[in-house]
Amino acid sequence: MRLAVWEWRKLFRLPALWVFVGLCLALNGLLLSPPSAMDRSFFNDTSADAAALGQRVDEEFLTGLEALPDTENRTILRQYVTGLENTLEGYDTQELTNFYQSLMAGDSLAQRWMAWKYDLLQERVDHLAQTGAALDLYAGPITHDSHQYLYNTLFRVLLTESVLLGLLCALYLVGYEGLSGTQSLTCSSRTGRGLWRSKTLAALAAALGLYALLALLTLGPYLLLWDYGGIWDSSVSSQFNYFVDMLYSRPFLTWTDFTVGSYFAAMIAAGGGLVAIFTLMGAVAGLLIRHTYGAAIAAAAFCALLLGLSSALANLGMWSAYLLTTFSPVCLWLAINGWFTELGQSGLVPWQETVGLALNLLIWAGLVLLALRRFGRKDVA
Amino acid sequence: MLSVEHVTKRYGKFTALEDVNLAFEPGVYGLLAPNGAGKTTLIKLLATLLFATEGQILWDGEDINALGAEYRGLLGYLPQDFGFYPSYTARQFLRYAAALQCLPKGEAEKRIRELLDTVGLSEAADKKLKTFSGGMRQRVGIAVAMLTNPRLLLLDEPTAGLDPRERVRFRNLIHALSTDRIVILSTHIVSDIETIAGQIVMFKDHKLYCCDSPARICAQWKGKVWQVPAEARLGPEQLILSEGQSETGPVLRVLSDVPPAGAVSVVPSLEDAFLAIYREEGRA
Repeated sequence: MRLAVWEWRKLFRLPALWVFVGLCLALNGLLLSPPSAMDRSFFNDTSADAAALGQRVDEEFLTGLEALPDTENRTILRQYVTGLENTLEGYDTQELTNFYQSLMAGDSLAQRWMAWKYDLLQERVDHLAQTGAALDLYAGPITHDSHQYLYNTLFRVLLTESVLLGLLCALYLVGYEGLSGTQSLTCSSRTGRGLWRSKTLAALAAALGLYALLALLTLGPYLLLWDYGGIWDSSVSSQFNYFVDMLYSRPFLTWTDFTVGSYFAAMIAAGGGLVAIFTLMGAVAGLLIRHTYGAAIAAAAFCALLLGLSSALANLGMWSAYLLTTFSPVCLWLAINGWFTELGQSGLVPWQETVGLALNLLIWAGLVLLALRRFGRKDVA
Repeated sequence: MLSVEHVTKRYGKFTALEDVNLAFEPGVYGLLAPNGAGKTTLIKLLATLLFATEGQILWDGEDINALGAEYRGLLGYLPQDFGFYPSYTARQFLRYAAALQCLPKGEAEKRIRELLDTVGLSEAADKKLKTFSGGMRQRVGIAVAMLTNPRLLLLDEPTAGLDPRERVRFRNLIHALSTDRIVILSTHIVSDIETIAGQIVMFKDHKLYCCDSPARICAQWKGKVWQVPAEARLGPEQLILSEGQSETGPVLRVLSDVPPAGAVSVVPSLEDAFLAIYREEGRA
């Protein structure tokens, strides 16, 4: 712990780090202004009505809504909720199977995988139909836009910034002694090369701390502007929410029952996992290459390679191989807006993001241990 | 106590040290050789920064790499290029080094105060290292190396870049710190170790040439070093070691088995021995 404090002192004394954090917050501040104030006012009014009437759109809700005084937003809401039906009742995932099997024509293995995944999803659809999740209001007609704004824009940017900060933390701390010419001094101390283990852990903690800071300073103001008071308890599988993949729209079907609140918490936690993976990746690059700038270039090149490989395999119609690449950290990052759903062509198994994050955490933690072991046996020039 | 057994270090096809055998007991050892002879390689092997290609280094009979932290805890090391954090004060840097050495905080504070006093930096303890002169930084370096009161102190070219006054001061400091420990000091400046080293280790052709007292090394050249006027004619077998100035004018110190014409026999110095050994190597 004592060594970690010294490592944090080195990191947090770096002006460039705070400049980067400042720029991230400025960008996030800009992102907080759109969509239009009108959308926000509709969201907040809907949330207030849901706080009074509950989230489930049933007779009681409709009667209560009718009894409330007329406002422009309420009039719109009434139009959308009147005659709402449980759209998940009778929903057949076979149409999704057919869509992806036709997309992946020529690769029978990938087609079988898709059929298997959507068969499993049918059980979830039946369960959600039974719970009446589709009848939850969420944010009414602006649910999809507000959900995508939060997770596909704001959260994606927040996570991208945090991932970059994680890489920076790891690369900077792992390469710090090389940059300052103190490698001989530190390696010959009692702590020795073991210091790099402390550095990796300190970078990990710092990256997660900075992620928490950015999340607090971005999502905090967001939650002040967007009133979730009456919305937290809604199911995310409300019929107003949907997921689009390959221009094909389908209900927002998650692998377990998520309320808006629990989904938000799960996304924050999973985001922390992704930040940790990229931080470990930075540490591996720093330990193997031992030149900070070279390691940064190598990490960026590796991510680009993963992305390029995934894209090339899809374009070449090698769908089985493509589906395996969807577990890569970069593909997981790309699929943020669909996390905890079936993820369309970006998902091979149920809970793809959770499995992917857990696998990557194990793999990268293992690679860090191997890189540390290698570093412990290498000459220090 | 510390023994180097058949140690060879190779970098690809280049051999930096070949089959070196040495035994160190408490006292000051000077590694004296021209640049590139393998001094720093040996120091780095002893500091566990490099791993021997062949052979082993033992501390009290145990391999230093197997001992790991236990061995490094006995070790104080001042690298040739002493790196530091410019924005840290001397005290902060020593605190950081104490943390690396796993010294308890209270003990570390006491030791830091003592060492800052020993190296004459008490007044400048809270000034940033970037404002320090080269000599002051080297003194911080020796304080870092002495933090754990090490039983083995390795100093790699500690006086490089220091002015004569700082060098003398540094020499005195090392001499004062040399009691009851092994001090291994690498240098190519003869005067740095002439007066303080009990044993001189020399390398030639990347192999151990000798490990002996300065007096015995000099004695090998007794009767072979001469002083002649600068204008004296010398034969091809007579090797000029150095030029100097005497009361009668410019003179040459010459290595020769037979006295040149007009030569006066002089007592060989360590510098004469150094030049003789490595000039011969150059001529070969």
